[in-house]
Amino acid sequence: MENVTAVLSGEEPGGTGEAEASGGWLWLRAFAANRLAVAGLVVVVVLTLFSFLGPLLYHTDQIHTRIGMETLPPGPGHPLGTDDVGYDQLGRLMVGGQTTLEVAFGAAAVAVLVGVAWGAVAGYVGGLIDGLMMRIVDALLAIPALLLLLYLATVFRPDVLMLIIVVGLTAWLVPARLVRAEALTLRSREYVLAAKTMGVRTPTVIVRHIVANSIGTILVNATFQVADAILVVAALSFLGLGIAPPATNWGAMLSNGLNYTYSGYWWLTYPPGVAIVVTVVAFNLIGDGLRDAFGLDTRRQ
Amino acid sequence: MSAPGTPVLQVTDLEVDIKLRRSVVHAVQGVTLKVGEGETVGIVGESGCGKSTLGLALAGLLPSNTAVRGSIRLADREVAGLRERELRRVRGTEVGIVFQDPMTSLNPTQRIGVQVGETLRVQSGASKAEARAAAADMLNLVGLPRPLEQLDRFPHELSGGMRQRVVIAAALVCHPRLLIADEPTTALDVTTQAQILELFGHLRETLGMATLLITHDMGVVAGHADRVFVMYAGREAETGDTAEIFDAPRHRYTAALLDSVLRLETPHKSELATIPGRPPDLTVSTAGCPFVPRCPAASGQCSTELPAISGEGDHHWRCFHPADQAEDNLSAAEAPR
Amino acid sequence: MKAHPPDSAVGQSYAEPTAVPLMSLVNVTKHYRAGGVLSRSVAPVQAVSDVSLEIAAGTTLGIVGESGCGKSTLGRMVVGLEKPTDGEVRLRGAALAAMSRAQRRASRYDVQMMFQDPYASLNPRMTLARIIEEPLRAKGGMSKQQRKALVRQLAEETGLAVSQLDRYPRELSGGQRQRVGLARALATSPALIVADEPVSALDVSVRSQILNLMTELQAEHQLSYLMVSHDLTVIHYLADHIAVMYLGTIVESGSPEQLFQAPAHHYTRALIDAVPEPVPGRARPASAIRGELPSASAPPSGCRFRTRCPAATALCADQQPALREFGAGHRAACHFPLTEPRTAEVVS
Repeated sequence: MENVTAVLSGEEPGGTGEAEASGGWLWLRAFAANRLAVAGLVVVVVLTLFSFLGPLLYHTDQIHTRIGMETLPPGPGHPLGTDDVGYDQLGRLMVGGQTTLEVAFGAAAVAVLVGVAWGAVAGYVGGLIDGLMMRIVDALLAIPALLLLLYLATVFRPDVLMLIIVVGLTAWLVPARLVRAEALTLRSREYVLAAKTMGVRTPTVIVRHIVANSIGTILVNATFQVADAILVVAALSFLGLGIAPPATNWGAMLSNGLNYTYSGYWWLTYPPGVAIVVTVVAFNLIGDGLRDAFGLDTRRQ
Repeated sequence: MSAPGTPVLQVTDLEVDIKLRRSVVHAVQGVTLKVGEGETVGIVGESGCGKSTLGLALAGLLPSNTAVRGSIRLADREVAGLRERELRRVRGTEVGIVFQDPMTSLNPTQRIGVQVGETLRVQSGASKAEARAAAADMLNLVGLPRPLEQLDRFPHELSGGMRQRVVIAAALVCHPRLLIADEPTTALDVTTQAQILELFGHLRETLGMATLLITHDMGVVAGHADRVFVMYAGREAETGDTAEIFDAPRHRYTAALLDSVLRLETPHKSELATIPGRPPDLTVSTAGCPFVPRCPAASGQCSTELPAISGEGDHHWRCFHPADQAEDNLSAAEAPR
Repeated sequence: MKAHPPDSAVGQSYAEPTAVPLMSLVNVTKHYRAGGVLSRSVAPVQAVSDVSLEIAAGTTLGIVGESGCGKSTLGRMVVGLEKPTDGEVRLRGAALAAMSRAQRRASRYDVQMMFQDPYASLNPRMTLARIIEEPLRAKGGMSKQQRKALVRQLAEETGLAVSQLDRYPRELSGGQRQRVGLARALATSPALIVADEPVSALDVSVRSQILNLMTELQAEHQLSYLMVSHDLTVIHYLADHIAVMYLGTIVESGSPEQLFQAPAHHYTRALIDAVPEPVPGRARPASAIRGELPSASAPPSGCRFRTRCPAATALCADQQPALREFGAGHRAACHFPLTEPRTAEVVS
């Protein structure tokens, strides 16, 4: 008995009304019903607005350092105090958030696009090409990503775009493997065979049949990619590589603040640290929620 | 022990609801049936009629998102609503279950002998050696060649037909009074199916157990069931002796179903009888007979009132406008083989 | 090249009358290598061995057999999803393998397929309209409006409500999904549709709906069907000519009357006997065949059926029986057939 609930709910004769929403968006409803996942989404949206719209409402100077205003504790005029070169910390958090989120989303996008394309082609085509492509992935996986990133970050002048590409290029390996696994399963599905009989060309088959039906896996992985990218950027900045000032990101802020741990300047470490943790957890919750939503959806794929 | 004459299985007004995310499926709606000692009763219906749910309910294997009402008496003992621990004792000793797919019914990492003997060890505390001997006996009984050799094999080393025999052996090793078989031959080839069905007959004679044969295949039921219970939309449509049901079906659904079955005698490329429409949505409770939208003889009364059970002797049906006593069309059209 | 009749004309015949059979398989063999480059020592799976068949325009050829007999592989070779290891698949006399890439693409649209599993043969992420439209898009040469019109027409022809075209497969029943599969197969006006177990996964009452539809469409469009099934009653009902397969070879072929009234091969007899007829009380012949299906990578020597045949002798292990003629178009390969062959001559 493959799936007892499916059998029992009489899915065979055409559904019992569970699918009033047109098939493509069932997962959205399932997601919306998951409170933790929605909470994660809300947090992400709030933080994004905070970072990008915040500065419009709360003006601070993030370019010019101000000697004499360093490391002021939170107080009037500076809700989170100032950092060690005089920047307002709250404003810094916003600017740092912009960079962090940009790089994270950007890197995730690069990783997913490259990884999905690579994995889908390898899995669908199979044979020697698949073997070759996946051995490349295996080889790259064997290289510790952090070392690779450190090397790339020292070689290339780190700005936002470079950071996106660099982080993305080390992260695409996981989606590649995932999508390849999906492609292997899907390519013997009857609707793929049907497409072949109809003379549909290979690129179209890959996009419309393989990738389209892996969208669940891909979306879930994409959210985890964002979370991972935030941590990677934080780690890089922690190690002193990353974007040059006056730009900053939460990881750099954290790393900077840790120099003053014993001075008791808590407003230099906790705000960026909490921001990182909260964002990563939020994305993980979204990812879990999506996984559950699609898990239900793929009962009968 | 129950008194002689009590049926092995007595189901009264059984209802099963399945709670889905946003709706409730009324899978079984008030089913009453009984199976006597050594009798084979066939439960026939198409997908969505509730027969599989019924089978699971009787075996105590419904998932947790279900609600069961009504009574299930197995060997004169109430089993509906029993806790899992008690149910486990009932399963295996009183009831053996055979499912459709022999591939997934057996644990691929355990040897055959172990799986067949497991129930004995768990239920009656038999030793490994005793269980092994009983398993060998059972494998022999189900017609597996060289049973002693097979004991140490793994499921993947056997073909589909042989695996199904192993599953049957495992279900019967404790000599239960009742065997529930849910589509036991659907996943098998036609020639293997014939062999397995023959095996059921042979086992009935040897072990004397009662069988509940759940299937969508009218042909299987015709050849191997003493009585037939036709289900539609979670309810009983008609029940009676096999011969009577096939020769003179009274419920309109039974009649239509028998008409639409393809036989070897069906004239080449002729217009086939069909039942228009689809089975009803079981999440929606309706008053009246569920077959109304597809019935050629439905009247106003049929939509508002659920027909009560009427009948003669052992032959019962729920229909306000049953089909007439049909002539034996079948025997007239039979071509000699 | 065949001239395409205007697609908007209902009831148009898709096949031109011709003396050459529409589709022929000539000594077709398909062996699968198990494992990769390094496992040359492992015996290949002999899915299909030396099969020759013909399908005339407007007729139905039924291939019946149980699992592992090679019928599905045969269907896939006809449709072009697989290439034979040996032998030829010919469309209107022209070998597919000899065609140029462009010609083979064009020939694709002439032979389409209808799949078994209504739940797996439709892309769950596409609307019905898009699914039926897909072959038209792949073929090209039509505007969006023309495609849309043709999709509506196909939906009507196959009994689908036009209002459902925007739905997704999950909202349909098994029978409705098979209608979509049929509409999709018809989209490019093929001359031959390979139907692989088209009704096996459907309920009994729905089965007759789809079979009626298939018969109707065949009459209207002069379609040919290659019907592959394990279900003898369906094959008997729909096929004009039947071939019985066992372990990759044809053991018997002929018209439904010939096969059912006077089967020559023991396997055919066993298949007929095994059909569970919905007639209670009819004495059931005990199944005469014993044992299990041998492995396709190690088929028995001589006659492949001998390990299960009640009439097998030493001769059957030594010599593979050749196809002999038992009547007009009725052939069987057996050393000890159930009826007498017309002549002792072997059919080439």
